[in-house]
Amino acid sequence: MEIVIAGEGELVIRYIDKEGRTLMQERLVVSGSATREARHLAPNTLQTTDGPTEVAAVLVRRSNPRQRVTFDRQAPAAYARRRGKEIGCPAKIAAEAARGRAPEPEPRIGLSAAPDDAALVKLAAAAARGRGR
Amino acid sequence: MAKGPIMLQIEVEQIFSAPVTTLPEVWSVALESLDGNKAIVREVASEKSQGIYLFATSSDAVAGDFEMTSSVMTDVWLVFNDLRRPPRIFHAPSHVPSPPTVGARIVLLRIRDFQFGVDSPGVFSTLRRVGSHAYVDEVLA
Repeated sequence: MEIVIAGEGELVIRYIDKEGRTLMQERLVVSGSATREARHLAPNTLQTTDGPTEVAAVLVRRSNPRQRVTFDRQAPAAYARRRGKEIGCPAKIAAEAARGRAPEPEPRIGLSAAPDDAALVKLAAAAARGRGR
Repeated sequence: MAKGPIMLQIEVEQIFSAPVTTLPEVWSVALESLDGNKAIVREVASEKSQGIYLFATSSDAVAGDFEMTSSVMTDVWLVFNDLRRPPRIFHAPSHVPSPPTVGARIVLLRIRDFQFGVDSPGVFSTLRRVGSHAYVDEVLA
Protein backbone atom coordinates (compact mmCIF):
# COMPACT_ATOMS: atom_id res chain seq x y z
CA MET A 1 0.00 0.00 0.00
CA GLU A 2 1.39 3.36 -0.98
CA ILE A 3 0.93 6.49 1.09
CA VAL A 4 1.42 9.70 -0.86
CA ILE A 5 1.94 12.96 0.98
CA ALA A 6 1.97 16.48 -0.44
CA GLY A 7 3.18 19.18 1.91
CA GLU A 8 4.89 19.33 5.27
CA GLY A 9 3.64 17.89 8.51
CA GLU A 10 3.30 14.95 10.83
CA LEU A 11 1.00 11.96 10.31
CA VAL A 12 0.13 9.21 12.74
CA ILE A 13 -1.18 6.00 11.17
CA ARG A 14 -2.42 2.95 13.03
CA TYR A 15 -2.67 -0.47 11.38
CA ILE A 16 -5.64 -2.42 12.72
CA ASP A 17 -6.58 -6.07 12.37
CA LYS A 18 -10.10 -7.34 11.70
CA GLU A 19 -10.93 -7.07 15.39
CA GLY A 20 -9.91 -3.43 15.45
CA ARG A 21 -6.74 -3.95 17.49
CA THR A 22 -3.78 -1.76 16.54
CA LEU A 23 -0.79 -3.93 15.66
CA MET A 24 1.53 -1.14 14.59
CA GLN A 25 1.63 2.63 14.74
CA GLU A 26 3.70 4.70 12.36
CA ARG A 27 4.50 8.35 12.72
CA LEU A 28 5.71 9.99 9.53
CA VAL A 29 7.21 13.46 9.50
CA VAL A 30 8.02 15.23 6.26
CA SER A 31 9.54 18.69 6.21
CA GLY A 32 11.52 21.08 4.11
CA SER A 33 8.96 23.05 2.15
CA ALA A 34 5.24 23.40 1.53
CA THR A 35 5.68 21.81 -1.89
CA ARG A 36 7.43 18.74 -0.56
CA GLU A 37 6.12 15.40 -1.82
CA ALA A 38 6.74 12.10 -0.11
CA ARG A 39 5.85 8.46 -0.60
CA HIS A 40 5.87 5.71 1.98
CA LEU A 41 5.35 2.00 1.45
CA ALA A 42 3.06 0.61 4.12
CA PRO A 43 2.24 -3.03 4.88
CA ASN A 44 -1.04 -4.78 4.07
CA THR A 45 -0.03 -7.73 6.23
CA LEU A 46 1.88 -8.08 9.48
CA GLN A 47 3.33 -11.30 10.85
CA THR A 48 2.08 -12.05 14.34
CA THR A 49 2.16 -14.91 16.80
CA ASP A 50 -1.09 -16.05 15.11
CA GLY A 51 0.47 -16.00 11.63
CA PRO A 52 0.07 -13.48 8.80
CA THR A 53 -2.56 -10.90 9.71
CA GLU A 54 -4.23 -8.56 7.24
CA VAL A 55 -4.28 -4.95 8.39
CA ALA A 56 -6.01 -1.71 7.46
CA ALA A 57 -4.25 1.64 7.77
CA VAL A 58 -6.11 4.31 9.73
CA LEU A 59 -5.00 7.94 9.68
CA VAL A 60 -5.53 9.07 13.27
CA ARG A 61 -3.64 12.38 13.29
CA ARG A 62 -2.51 14.98 10.78
CA SER A 63 -0.70 18.02 12.16
CA ASN A 64 -1.14 20.17 9.07
CA PRO A 65 -4.69 20.33 7.65
CA ARG A 66 -3.28 21.68 4.38
CA GLN A 67 -1.15 18.60 3.90
CA ARG A 68 -2.75 16.29 1.32
CA VAL A 69 -2.58 12.55 1.97
CA THR A 70 -3.80 9.54 0.01
CA PHE A 71 -3.70 5.83 0.79
CA ASP A 72 -3.52 3.83 -2.44
CA ARG A 73 -4.82 6.91 -4.32
CA GLN A 74 -7.90 7.19 -2.09
CA ALA A 75 -8.77 9.59 0.69
CA PRO A 76 -7.67 8.00 4.00
CA ALA A 77 -11.25 7.78 5.31
CA ALA A 78 -12.53 6.03 2.18
CA TYR A 79 -9.53 3.72 2.19
CA ALA A 80 -10.00 2.80 5.85
CA ARG A 81 -13.68 2.02 5.34
CA ARG A 82 -13.04 -0.10 2.22
CA ARG A 83 -9.98 -1.88 3.54
CA GLY A 84 -11.58 -2.44 6.93
CA LYS A 85 -14.50 -4.25 5.28
CA GLU A 86 -12.09 -6.14 3.02
CA ILE A 87 -10.16 -7.63 5.94
CA GLY A 88 -13.33 -8.57 7.80
CA CYS A 89 -13.84 -5.75 10.28
CA PRO A 90 -17.40 -5.43 11.58
CA ALA A 91 -19.19 -2.40 10.13
CA LYS A 92 -18.87 -0.49 13.41
CA ILE A 93 -15.07 -0.87 13.48
CA ALA A 94 -14.75 0.05 9.79
CA ALA A 95 -16.87 3.14 10.40
CA GLU A 96 -14.70 4.14 13.38
CA ALA A 97 -11.58 3.62 11.26
CA ALA A 98 -13.06 5.89 8.58
CA ARG A 99 -13.47 8.55 11.28
CA GLY A 100 -9.78 8.20 12.15
CA ARG A 101 -10.35 6.29 15.35
CA ALA A 102 -8.21 3.31 16.33
CA PRO A 103 -6.81 2.31 19.72
CA GLU A 104 -3.22 2.94 20.75
CA PRO A 105 -0.80 0.03 20.23
CA GLU A 106 -0.12 -2.17 23.23
CA PRO A 107 3.59 -2.99 23.18
CA ARG A 108 5.06 -6.02 24.91
CA ILE A 109 6.75 -5.18 28.17
CA GLY A 110 10.31 -4.01 27.65
CA LEU A 111 11.23 -1.05 25.54
CA SER A 112 8.73 1.74 25.32
CA ALA A 113 8.55 5.42 24.61
CA ALA A 114 5.25 7.19 24.84
CA PRO A 115 4.57 9.39 21.81
CA ASP A 116 4.71 12.86 23.31
CA ASP A 117 4.09 15.11 20.32
CA ALA A 118 0.49 15.93 21.24
CA ALA A 119 1.64 16.96 24.72
CA LEU A 120 4.48 18.97 23.20
CA VAL A 121 2.07 20.89 20.96
CA LYS A 122 -0.06 21.78 24.02
CA LEU A 123 3.05 22.85 25.93
CA ALA A 124 4.25 25.04 23.05
CA ALA A 125 0.78 26.55 22.58
CA ALA A 126 0.58 27.36 26.29
CA ALA A 127 4.03 28.95 26.15
CA ALA A 128 3.02 31.00 23.09
CA ARG A 129 -0.11 32.25 24.88
CA GLY A 130 2.06 33.24 27.85
CA ARG A 131 4.36 35.30 25.61
CA GLY A 132 1.42 36.96 23.96
CA ARG A 133 0.25 38.58 27.19
CA MET B 1 15.36 29.82 -12.76
CA ALA B 2 17.04 27.87 -10.00
CA LYS B 3 15.41 26.68 -6.80
CA GLY B 4 18.18 27.89 -4.45
CA PRO B 5 18.67 26.06 -1.14
CA ILE B 6 16.47 22.97 -0.65
CA MET B 7 15.97 20.96 2.52
CA LEU B 8 14.46 17.46 2.46
CA GLN B 9 13.68 15.65 5.71
CA ILE B 10 11.83 12.42 6.53
CA GLU B 11 11.31 10.73 9.86
CA VAL B 12 9.58 7.39 10.48
CA GLU B 13 8.72 6.05 13.93
CA GLN B 14 7.20 2.60 14.42
CA ILE B 15 5.65 1.22 17.60
CA PHE B 16 4.45 -2.41 17.68
CA SER B 17 1.86 -4.25 19.68
CA ALA B 18 2.82 -7.46 21.45
CA PRO B 19 1.61 -10.02 18.88
CA VAL B 20 3.77 -8.64 16.05
CA THR B 21 6.75 -10.88 15.19
CA THR B 22 8.02 -9.19 12.02
CA LEU B 23 8.97 -5.56 11.57
CA PRO B 24 8.16 -4.38 8.05
CA GLU B 25 10.84 -2.71 6.00
CA VAL B 26 11.00 1.07 6.17
CA TRP B 27 10.91 2.58 2.68
CA SER B 28 10.12 6.26 2.28
CA VAL B 29 11.10 8.97 -0.14
CA ALA B 30 10.76 12.74 -0.23
CA LEU B 31 11.11 14.54 -3.51
CA GLU B 32 11.25 18.00 -4.97
CA SER B 33 11.34 19.27 -8.52
CA LEU B 34 14.35 21.13 -9.87
CA ASP B 35 14.68 23.63 -12.72
CA GLY B 36 17.46 21.77 -14.52
CA ASN B 37 20.21 24.12 -13.40
CA LYS B 38 23.34 23.28 -11.39
CA ALA B 39 22.56 21.10 -8.35
CA ILE B 40 25.00 20.49 -5.53
CA VAL B 41 24.22 18.06 -2.71
CA ARG B 42 25.63 19.83 0.33
CA GLU B 43 24.87 17.22 3.00
CA VAL B 44 23.22 13.81 3.33
CA ALA B 45 22.79 12.25 6.77
CA SER B 46 20.64 9.84 8.72
CA GLU B 47 19.83 9.00 12.30
CA LYS B 48 18.46 5.89 13.97
CA SER B 49 17.21 5.14 17.46
CA GLN B 50 16.21 1.57 18.22
CA GLY B 51 16.51 -0.99 20.94
CA ILE B 52 15.42 -4.62 20.78
CA TYR B 53 14.59 -7.05 23.55
CA LEU B 54 14.50 -10.49 21.93
CA PHE B 55 13.46 -13.59 23.82
CA ALA B 56 11.72 -16.97 23.56
CA THR B 57 8.41 -17.87 25.15
CA SER B 58 9.57 -21.48 25.59
CA SER B 59 12.50 -22.53 27.77
CA ASP B 60 13.31 -25.31 25.24
CA ALA B 61 14.33 -22.79 22.59
CA VAL B 62 17.86 -21.45 22.31
CA ALA B 63 18.23 -17.93 20.96
CA GLY B 64 20.73 -17.42 18.15
CA ASP B 65 23.01 -14.44 17.74
CA PHE B 66 21.29 -11.26 16.75
CA GLU B 67 22.71 -7.93 15.79
CA MET B 68 20.94 -4.88 14.41
CA THR B 69 22.50 -2.07 12.44
CA SER B 70 22.88 1.26 14.17
CA SER B 71 22.23 3.22 10.99
CA VAL B 72 19.84 3.29 8.06
CA MET B 73 20.48 3.41 4.35
CA THR B 74 19.98 6.88 2.94
CA ASP B 75 20.68 8.13 -0.53
CA VAL B 76 19.92 11.12 -2.73
CA TRP B 77 19.05 10.71 -6.39
CA LEU B 78 19.32 13.46 -8.97
CA VAL B 79 17.07 12.37 -11.84
CA PHE B 80 16.94 13.70 -15.42
CA ASN B 81 14.00 13.97 -17.80
CA ASP B 82 15.93 11.87 -20.28
CA LEU B 83 15.64 8.41 -18.79
CA ARG B 84 18.58 7.25 -20.91
CA ARG B 85 20.74 9.44 -18.71
CA PRO B 86 21.37 7.50 -15.50
CA PRO B 87 20.55 9.23 -12.21
CA ARG B 88 23.37 10.51 -10.06
CA ILE B 89 23.22 8.84 -6.66
CA PHE B 90 24.93 10.04 -3.47
CA HIS B 91 24.68 8.14 -0.21
CA ALA B 92 24.87 9.17 3.42
CA PRO B 93 26.80 10.16 5.37
CA SER B 94 28.33 12.97 3.39
CA HIS B 95 29.07 16.39 4.79
CA VAL B 96 30.97 17.99 1.91
CA PRO B 97 29.50 19.45 -1.28
CA SER B 98 29.09 16.98 -4.14
CA PRO B 99 30.38 17.67 -7.64
CA PRO B 100 27.83 19.83 -9.47
CA THR B 101 25.16 18.18 -11.60
CA VAL B 102 23.54 20.12 -14.43
CA GLY B 103 20.15 19.24 -15.90
CA ALA B 104 18.53 17.24 -13.09
CA ARG B 105 14.76 17.75 -12.79
CA ILE B 106 14.02 15.84 -9.60
CA VAL B 107 15.90 15.48 -6.33
CA LEU B 108 14.81 12.50 -4.27
CA LEU B 109 15.80 11.52 -0.73
CA ARG B 110 15.25 7.86 0.16
CA ILE B 111 15.41 6.16 3.55
CA ARG B 112 15.39 2.40 4.04
CA ASP B 113 15.76 0.07 6.97
CA PHE B 114 15.54 -3.70 7.19
CA GLN B 115 12.54 -5.90 7.63
CA PHE B 116 13.25 -8.56 10.21
CA GLY B 117 11.28 -11.14 12.09
CA VAL B 118 11.46 -14.09 14.43
CA ASP B 119 9.83 -17.53 14.33
CA SER B 120 7.81 -18.99 17.18
CA PRO B 121 8.56 -19.29 20.08
CA GLY B 122 10.64 -16.16 19.56
CA VAL B 123 9.15 -12.75 20.31
CA PHE B 124 10.55 -9.28 20.73
CA SER B 125 9.91 -5.88 22.13
CA THR B 126 11.15 -2.96 20.10
CA LEU B 127 10.44 0.44 18.71
CA ARG B 128 12.21 2.07 15.81
CA ARG B 129 12.83 5.68 14.88
CA VAL B 130 14.74 6.57 11.74
CA GLY B 131 15.28 9.86 10.03
CA SER B 132 17.19 11.27 7.08
CA HIS B 133 17.89 14.68 5.69
CA ALA B 134 19.59 16.23 2.71
CA TYR B 135 20.53 19.78 1.84
CA VAL B 136 20.76 20.59 -1.84
CA ASP B 137 21.53 23.87 -3.58
CA GLU B 138 20.32 24.59 -7.07
CA VAL B 139 22.05 27.61 -8.61
CA LEU B 140 22.20 29.10 -12.10
CA ALA B 141 24.51 27.08 -14.31
